[in-house]
Amino acid sequence: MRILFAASFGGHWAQLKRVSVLLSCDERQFVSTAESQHTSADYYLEDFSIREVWRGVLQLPRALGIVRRSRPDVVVSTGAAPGLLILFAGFLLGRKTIWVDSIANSRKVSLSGRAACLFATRVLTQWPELETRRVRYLGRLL
Amino acid sequence: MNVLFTAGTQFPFARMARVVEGVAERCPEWRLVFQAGPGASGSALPVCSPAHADVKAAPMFPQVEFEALFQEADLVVTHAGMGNLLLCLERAKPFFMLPRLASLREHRNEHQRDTAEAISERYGVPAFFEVEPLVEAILGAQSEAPPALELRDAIERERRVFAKRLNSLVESL
Repeated sequence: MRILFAASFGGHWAQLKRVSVLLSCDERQFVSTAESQHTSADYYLEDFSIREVWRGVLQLPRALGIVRRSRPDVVVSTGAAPGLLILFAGFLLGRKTIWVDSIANSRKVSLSGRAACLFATRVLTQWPELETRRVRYLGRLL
Repeated sequence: MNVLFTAGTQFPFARMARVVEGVAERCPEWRLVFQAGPGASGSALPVCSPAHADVKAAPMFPQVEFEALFQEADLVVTHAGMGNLLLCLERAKPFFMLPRLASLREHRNEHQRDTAEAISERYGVPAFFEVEPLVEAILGAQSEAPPALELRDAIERERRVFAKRLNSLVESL
């Protein structure tokens, strides 16, 4: 089993690393956003917000290239928009995709998480109160 | 007393600089370290008189240095960003939260307020929404007991359950 993990740098990345050690698999690869101090990912995207959709569209070919090269069985993202883009690229290429919404969203699933509901294989929240038929709660990092 | 303040990397967070100043003013002998965030300038940096020489402020400390400063700190005062909250809780480091508020243009939306309230409710970590009460709490922090190590064990238990269910989900896809 090969899993591609994607998240932007910062709190999303901190959660992604912790989710990645919980999942047993043969190979893990990481996508993140370019930052001067950040060198631990295998692939990088430019950071953008979900509200700047065009910046995501411009990077879609790069995202598709990353998914093609890493050939994952499953794509997992903890957010935010750059993670969503990789998840979408995974969806377009027929991969299984899992969105884990950030613990920071305790009152409402994030906008990116709601967008992931449109195509992701599974969407998870880390708050039991936010569980719906589409958004499942399986546990939390904190 | 050795206190590490960290403002996060989003918009300027001038209120955190005011907290540093407030503590420096009243406890000149304490060692204060402030990571103000990349691009922090002007009011986002603390102004302390020469009498309070032991204030070390920088926009960003290199990762290795930050790690050492974190280890040495008796207390961490942080914005309500997930990276720092995870670190503090996992290492059982005593900490206070000052969430960035969108209403003061410290963040894009109010999720830090929600996070701080949720973490405060779940783990009993104090969250502050104004400078003065936070300064008071920091000054009184020496007398408070450090957070229980049981917290860390509880988090590990949560994760074992999460891992089990995540793995069965992936296998079932």
